[in-house]
Amino acid sequence: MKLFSKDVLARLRLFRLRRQARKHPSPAAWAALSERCLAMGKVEAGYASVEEGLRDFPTSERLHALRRLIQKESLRERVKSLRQSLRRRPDPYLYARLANVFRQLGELSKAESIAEECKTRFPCDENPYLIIGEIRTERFKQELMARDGRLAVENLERAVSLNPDNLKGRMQLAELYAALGANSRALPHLLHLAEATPDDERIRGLIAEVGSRPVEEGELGALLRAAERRRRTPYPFPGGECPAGGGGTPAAVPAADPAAIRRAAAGLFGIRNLKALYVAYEPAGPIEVKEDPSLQADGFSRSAAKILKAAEASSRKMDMGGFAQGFLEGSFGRIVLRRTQGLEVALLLEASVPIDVAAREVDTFFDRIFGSHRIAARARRS
Amino acid sequence: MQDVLDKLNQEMGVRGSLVVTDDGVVAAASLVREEDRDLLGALATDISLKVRSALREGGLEGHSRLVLDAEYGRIVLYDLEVASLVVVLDRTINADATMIEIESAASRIRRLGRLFAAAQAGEE
Repeated sequence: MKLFSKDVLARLRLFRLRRQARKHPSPAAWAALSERCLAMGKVEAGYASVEEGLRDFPTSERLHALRRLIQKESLRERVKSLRQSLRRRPDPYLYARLANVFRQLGELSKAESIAEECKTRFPCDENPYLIIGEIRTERFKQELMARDGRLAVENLERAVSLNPDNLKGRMQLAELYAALGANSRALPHLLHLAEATPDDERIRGLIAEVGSRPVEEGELGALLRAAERRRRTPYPFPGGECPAGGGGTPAAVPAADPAAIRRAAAGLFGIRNLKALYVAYEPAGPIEVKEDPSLQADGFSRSAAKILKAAEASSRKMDMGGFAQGFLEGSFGRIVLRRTQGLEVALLLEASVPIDVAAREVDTFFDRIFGSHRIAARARRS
Repeated sequence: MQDVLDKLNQEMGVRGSLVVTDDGVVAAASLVREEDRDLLGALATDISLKVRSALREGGLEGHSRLVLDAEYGRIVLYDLEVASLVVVLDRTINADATMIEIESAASRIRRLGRLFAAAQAGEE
């Protein structure tokens, strides 16, 4: 005869895992507890466990990944129900909610296409313009592409013209203009905001700052193109960090030391069946090169440099932001490519080497160089 | 060919797909925004030719698949002998599952291309 039902045993196991996590906390213990909760269908308890774990281990990659997974799953459910509601009764408010869920999921292109659909159906509603404006502003901050900036301005201007009391859109527009140095365009929006919120110290400070700057020279398009070319905006984005290095300062990421890159690259030589390797850093050029003796002299380095350049150019032209990583397969084997913060790596491997094995080694290489910065940035974001 | 692309576009995370010949002509396309058709075709041909030429320069020839991950999306290019299958994906999707679908679409299109070439040769 069974003394305990399955349910009781499962609860007991859960209780033990929770006790274990609290008594001997570790990312693995919290993750195990959360995963068990999820397996039992207790999504909320699973999420709470991850949150509790993250309070103790805020930089744990595993716990962050688990939290993202849970968030995504619950958001997917919301997508389904919002789509159903939209089919029954199209409504700009529902469109905006659906687009925002896609934004939370990180699917920005879907969020944009939902907003575009809403624009077509409800051209006089400000929300889709605001959503596209926000997405493009965010992308402009990240990538400093003139096209993103132009679309951000166009959409935010439209949102504000449709509803002059939309303070959120007005604020974003003012900040964008202020960062670009389009001071005469920023001021009217800031004055409107000051009128609506007379006690806001930040807006008063911004008015004083922008008002003291010289009047900009040139059209907005020229200012955007200049920001793209220089990889920075003339002034900081008010009230926020700018990962792409906007704000007249270079990228927030510390510059990598070529000697450190060389040391870290030593780990890549350990990959089995590695035929050739190319490591280059933007300011310093090629740093570490290993060539396959069967290929032409410098053959792989030249190919890798050109492929990386073409990949970067195409990603940007296709409106996908900067190139991050890629791979190529063919009769020659496999090529793994990676580009982060101006550091480029290309590996030529035998076809028998699994891509994920090589990708893990490349991850380790980048972590050795930028690791502490990345963890800090992720912790800030979370 | 259009059916294969339309079916592929129903996969999760697929934003659009097209078959483009080596001289930049879009043979078939299934895209959310039709106005992107020519631009995407031209850009895909450009990257494909650049990669091919860079590989040839290094004595590495015959690539069959190219995957590029960018900040906001992923591009997959399959070599179809005289054309390329280009698929634009969201960055956040589970790539493995979708990649199998793309591979299967590529082989179906390749087969269709061969059948078409054989039929043309028969007519001549």
